[in-house]
Amino acid sequence: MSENIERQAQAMETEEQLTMAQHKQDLKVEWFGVDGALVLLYVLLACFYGYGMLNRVDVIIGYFAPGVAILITSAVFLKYCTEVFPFATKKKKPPVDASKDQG
Amino acid sequence: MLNIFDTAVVIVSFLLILRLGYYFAKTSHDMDSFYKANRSLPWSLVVGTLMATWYGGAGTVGTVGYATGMGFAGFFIWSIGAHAVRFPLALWVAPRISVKAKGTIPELLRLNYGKTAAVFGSIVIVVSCLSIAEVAAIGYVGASAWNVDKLVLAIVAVGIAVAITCMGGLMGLAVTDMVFFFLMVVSVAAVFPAMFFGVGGFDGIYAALEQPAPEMLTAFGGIPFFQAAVLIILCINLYKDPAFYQRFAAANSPRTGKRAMLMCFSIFLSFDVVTIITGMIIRTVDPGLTVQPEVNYVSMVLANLPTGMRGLYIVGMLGAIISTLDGYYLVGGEIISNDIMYMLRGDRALPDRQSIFIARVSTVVFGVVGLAAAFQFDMVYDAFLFLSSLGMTMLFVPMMVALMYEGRKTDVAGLASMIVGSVIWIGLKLFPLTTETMGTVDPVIIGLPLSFLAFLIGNNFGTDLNAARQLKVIDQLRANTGQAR
Repeated sequence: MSENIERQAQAMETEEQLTMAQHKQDLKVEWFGVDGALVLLYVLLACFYGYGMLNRVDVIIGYFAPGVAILITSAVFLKYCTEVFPFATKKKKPPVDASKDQG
Repeated sequence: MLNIFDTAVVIVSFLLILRLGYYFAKTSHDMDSFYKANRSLPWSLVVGTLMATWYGGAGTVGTVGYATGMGFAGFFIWSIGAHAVRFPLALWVAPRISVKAKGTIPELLRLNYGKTAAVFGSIVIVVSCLSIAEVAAIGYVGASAWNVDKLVLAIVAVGIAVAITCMGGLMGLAVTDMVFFFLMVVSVAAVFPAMFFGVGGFDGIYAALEQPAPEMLTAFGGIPFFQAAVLIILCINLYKDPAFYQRFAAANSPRTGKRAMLMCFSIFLSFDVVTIITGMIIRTVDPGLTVQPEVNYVSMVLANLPTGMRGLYIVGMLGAIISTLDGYYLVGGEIISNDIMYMLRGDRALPDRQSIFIARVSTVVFGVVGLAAAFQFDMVYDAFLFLSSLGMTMLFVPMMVALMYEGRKTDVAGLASMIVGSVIWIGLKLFPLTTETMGTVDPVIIGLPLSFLAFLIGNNFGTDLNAARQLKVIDQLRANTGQAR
């Protein structure tokens, strides 16, 4: 009996360690990766648009800003078109949330 | 005004979008697929659905209206500043929602602070999910496009939002949101250069506004720096938004939600430049604002677009409102069937089919109540807005602590923080506080720190539900193996 408890406790501990490691990885911000690049993009755009407004640069506000909005949106939309059909036919993941049962 | 061909484009587009929603509805069989799209939303869909849900009538037509008075300050305060304070939401909070809070906000409150806190939270969130301000915004589009009665068009738009939500749950909603998002951004941005250069670019704008409204041409619009900083801080309201919560939980990984939100900030920023400068163009054309700016904006855009494109623009604008409505209706339906019913049934979850049925019925009720509140009963409208605004001071502290802090959190702390936040907010709304430096102080500025203080004091009392739950699991494990103490 005590062996059983020992084994279950060890299994729980290993599972918890693995989950914790995965969670830590998921929660980490990659400042020198994609996360940092997206933050930098925002900062650069904010400076660029701000400069365009305060210095009356017509090209930045008249063409560049709507152009960037259309370009990013179209890129996301194209990505969506390639992802949406496999996504719709994807099999259901096994349920992982047991919180409701724990009340 | 739209001609017959434009109107046909609008009708055909909506039929195709509804067909698309119906096609993807077939994949929603159980609660996990209906409410959370099997937690498998890819990056592109999370970007689309976040963007479409956030930019409703207030985000597009509303921003244009505000910008006719704010000018550049709209960009420097409301756009750059507002999105900047939301970066922590994307970088640290969104992944934690995906990892730690797989359900709804009331569920997070229930697990951390108990049922009473969850009931309070549910009421405020369900009321905010009615999105009555969005329903009211439909009138601007209807007046400019067809000159129809705003209630008639609102009934049609709410009906489409209810249909999309009931048919496909989050999956149907996300794929239709994406189409609406694409049409909205592309049509609004594509027409902008013609309007901007039509008034002579910045030279024309400066010439028209330098005399009547010079403050519109400054970065902070004449607002003192401290007051501007306070306005920016208030933009953390997004941290307790249940629709964002649902999207992050439905993303296929914590990183997906985070990066989708980070991508959205750059789109938000570029789109804000377009809508804010459009507001300044409206003011340039009509310095006295003799026509309601929101109606004037839609009319101006329609005058600058060719036949056919006008129809697609209206689909994009109505779609922005519909996608916001269906997003919140789904969240509200989920909270009623999964949280409120769960608690009413003595902590027993409903079977999948019943849960989805109740969520669908709730969605219809949301639509009817939203329409009635927006157009028929002024007092109800005010009461709903009052309750929706209360959510910030009530929920922000307990939610953020539950997500970001691993240590002791007691039921008394959660409740104390919610009650103090609410009481301070209501008190300062009824008896506003005015100072020389800040003008009228926003209740949130005082309510949030006091709510946090109440949490710290309350945390010395009551039960730590997470610790109690862990002990219960260990005891159960021991009992199962016959060696209970």
